[in-house]
Amino acid sequence: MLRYLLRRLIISVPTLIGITLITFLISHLLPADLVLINLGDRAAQNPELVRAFRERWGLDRPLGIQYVVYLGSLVRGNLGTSISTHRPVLTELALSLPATIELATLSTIVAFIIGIGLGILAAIRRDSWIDWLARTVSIVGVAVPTFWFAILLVSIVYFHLGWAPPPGRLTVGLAPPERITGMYLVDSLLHGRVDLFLDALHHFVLPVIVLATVGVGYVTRITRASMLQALQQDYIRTAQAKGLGQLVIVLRHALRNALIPILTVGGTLYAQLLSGTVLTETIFSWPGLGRYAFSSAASLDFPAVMGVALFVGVFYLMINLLVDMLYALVNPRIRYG
Amino acid sequence: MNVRWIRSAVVTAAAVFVATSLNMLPASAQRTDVLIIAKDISDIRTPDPSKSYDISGVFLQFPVYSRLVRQRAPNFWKVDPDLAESWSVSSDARVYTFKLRSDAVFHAGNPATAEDVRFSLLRAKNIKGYGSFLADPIKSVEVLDPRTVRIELNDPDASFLAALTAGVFSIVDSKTVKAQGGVEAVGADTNDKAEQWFNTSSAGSGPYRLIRYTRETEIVLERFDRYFGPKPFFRQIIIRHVKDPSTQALMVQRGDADLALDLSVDQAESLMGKPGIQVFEDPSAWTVYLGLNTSLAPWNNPKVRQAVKYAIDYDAIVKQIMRGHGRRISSIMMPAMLGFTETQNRALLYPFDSTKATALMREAGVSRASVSLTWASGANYGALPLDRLAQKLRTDLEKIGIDLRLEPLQQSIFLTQYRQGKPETAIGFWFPDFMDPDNWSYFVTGFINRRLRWESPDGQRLVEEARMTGNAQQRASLYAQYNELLAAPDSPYVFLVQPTNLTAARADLANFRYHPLFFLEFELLRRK
Repeated sequence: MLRYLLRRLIISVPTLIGITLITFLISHLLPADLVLINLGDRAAQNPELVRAFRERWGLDRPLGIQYVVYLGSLVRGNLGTSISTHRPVLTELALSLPATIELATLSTIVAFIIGIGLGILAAIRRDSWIDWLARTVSIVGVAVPTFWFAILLVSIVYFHLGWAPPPGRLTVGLAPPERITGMYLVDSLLHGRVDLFLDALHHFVLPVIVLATVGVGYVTRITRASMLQALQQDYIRTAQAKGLGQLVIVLRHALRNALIPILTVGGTLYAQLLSGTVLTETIFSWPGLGRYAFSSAASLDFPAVMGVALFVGVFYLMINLLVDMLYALVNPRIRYG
Repeated sequence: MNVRWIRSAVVTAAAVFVATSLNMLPASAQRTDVLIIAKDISDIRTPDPSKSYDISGVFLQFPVYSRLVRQRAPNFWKVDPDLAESWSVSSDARVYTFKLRSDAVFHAGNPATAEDVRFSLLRAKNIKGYGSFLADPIKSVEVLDPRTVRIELNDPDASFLAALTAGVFSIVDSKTVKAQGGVEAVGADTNDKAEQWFNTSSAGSGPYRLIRYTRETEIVLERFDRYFGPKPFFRQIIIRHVKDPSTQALMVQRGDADLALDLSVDQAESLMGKPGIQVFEDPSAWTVYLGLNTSLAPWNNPKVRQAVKYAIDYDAIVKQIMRGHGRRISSIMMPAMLGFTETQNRALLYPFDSTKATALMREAGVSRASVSLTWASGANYGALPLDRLAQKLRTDLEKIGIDLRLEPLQQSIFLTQYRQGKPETAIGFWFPDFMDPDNWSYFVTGFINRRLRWESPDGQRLVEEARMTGNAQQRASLYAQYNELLAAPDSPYVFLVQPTNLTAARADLANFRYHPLFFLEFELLRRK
């Protein structure tokens, strides 16, 4: 197992280097002038300012050298400095990542609970009303455009019903809990601030509904299909013949065997949400990774864009690895070595 | 596991969820002395006033910092005292001497002195930030006594007094900023270490102190009780980042925000007349034109350029696309400013006359032409949505045989291409750095006109002379000639509109004053 883990980690290095190379090339080959966009139209007229800017960001060197210099500092754990804000990219990522991690984790958990529950019920009560409901939910969840659904929720639940707070992570004017992890739910509890915790939780409701809906669609569909297949296996008939209770048969015998495809879908879903959801974050004024990536790309802040790409790459690799480990845990027949 | 147990757990969880949803509604009723503004603040790069140059950066700086002089709405062309109580300008407009008021103190308690002015202006120049080019004309800053400071410029420049109202010339507390690693001398671009400190603190002498700034989240300001001016009504001002304009509109309607600042024309229209809401309409500093690249057909033919000026149904642009929230312009300047009177603006307008346009096309010998039109797609300049404007221009020019191929570009790419002079036809705009006519002179100096491959030595001579002239009347006459030249039939500019700016506010807000460049005067705002 350990050897397998090590091998997987080593294989991921070229993938990550590939990601940096492609992002680097794309951000430098765009038909937009980095100096102009960052300095502004009028400042870019001043040769002295332009020269200082190019020197400051290493743009006066050949492209190949720039890339090697970037890789060099990357090895030392330095992701560079943001052109826009002059802060280390790592610091900036540490500011936007927690908001996204919190939102993605909560949404994935909700999607899993509802999706697996609905999928199981649909499979055991096949062609009943609940199966019909599950199939509808999974189609709607996958098909509905996220931004439209988000705007609709804001308009109905916040504006017309007043059941949810306006977009944002906390009520306007409330100071966020002193930073430990940057995740408001965690930090407020660590500081014993139940009021902040509830306020933050309340602000999660709408964005979590939006993101979980997509997840529920996928998870329900895959759970239902996978459970239907498992329930037709011989060992289920044996279990029934043994006189085991329905709950035990479904959860311990069928679900456990059906879990592998569910984990695969769930892992991809989580990685997707972790890499930031620009539209949802925009509508809910959620200062997460998606917003950061978008603003950085729009202002051609290439060190920031590369930092984001690298992190997203790491997320995908880590989650894929985690899912593979879980396979072995769920199904003892799978062994790595 | 028991099925009944699961069921009761689910019911309890649902009940808790609904209860938190219902009980935690924001209490907007009791915030009399707290002002909440919904605004997109994602363009703020740095809260350091000497470096900042973005539009939302102005929002953060203006209530926090004072400058030597200021301009206020509604007469936003007049230069008024701020930290300086009086000043004198040498007859050649090269030396400016300021006498400071004696009662101004910074947020840390230090008095505002001539040394702070020297430090701030030189730091703005030497730090080589985004707005530093505005400080280029400064040759030296000299402290004559603790309350008198003398600024010498490299060349005569009559626009410099107005330039000093810009955010980059905010006066900072030199003692505090130095203690945080701030440097004003040559080399400040690498030696200055104070920038990050401005994320959490402020060193100004304005009516508000910065309490908290979090990127894409919020700016929290608190009233500074030792401000030298009138005491502001609001104890706290919170500028909440809300990217989506339709959400901003919803927040004002529900009372979760007092002001919404980035509304599109459709949203503002839908809010007009709603109970509890007032919509303010003020002139914006955007002036919009169509640029014709004179190096290629058909725009290389002066008669075709003239024809286009008669072929556009300008009133329909104002009435339909901007829904009446703006007006036509005949040159690049804002009508009613020095050198561009309302009368001159009206006199230079081209009528919409398709017969004349068709006749001019015939004279030009061009019956059909195809040319591309590029613009920053999705952008709004005040009440003007560009995508709809492009459609309208295409329809109008089709009628005289010109096929405008629409080629929208992402904003950064558009700016780059326009600067390189690549677009065949472009929707361009002007938005000034400060309110002096000199800032509108770039349409002959080579900065804008070269993108359209057009030169005007006469125009260049006019604006140069105007910049060096101290006498306001003489300047006005020179700029009037400049405007006439820009509006000439063969110029590459087809001037279109000046949109207004629309702001939605709760009905109980009073004393709303909007400056097209420096936005709100926070210290004047109050509840009825």
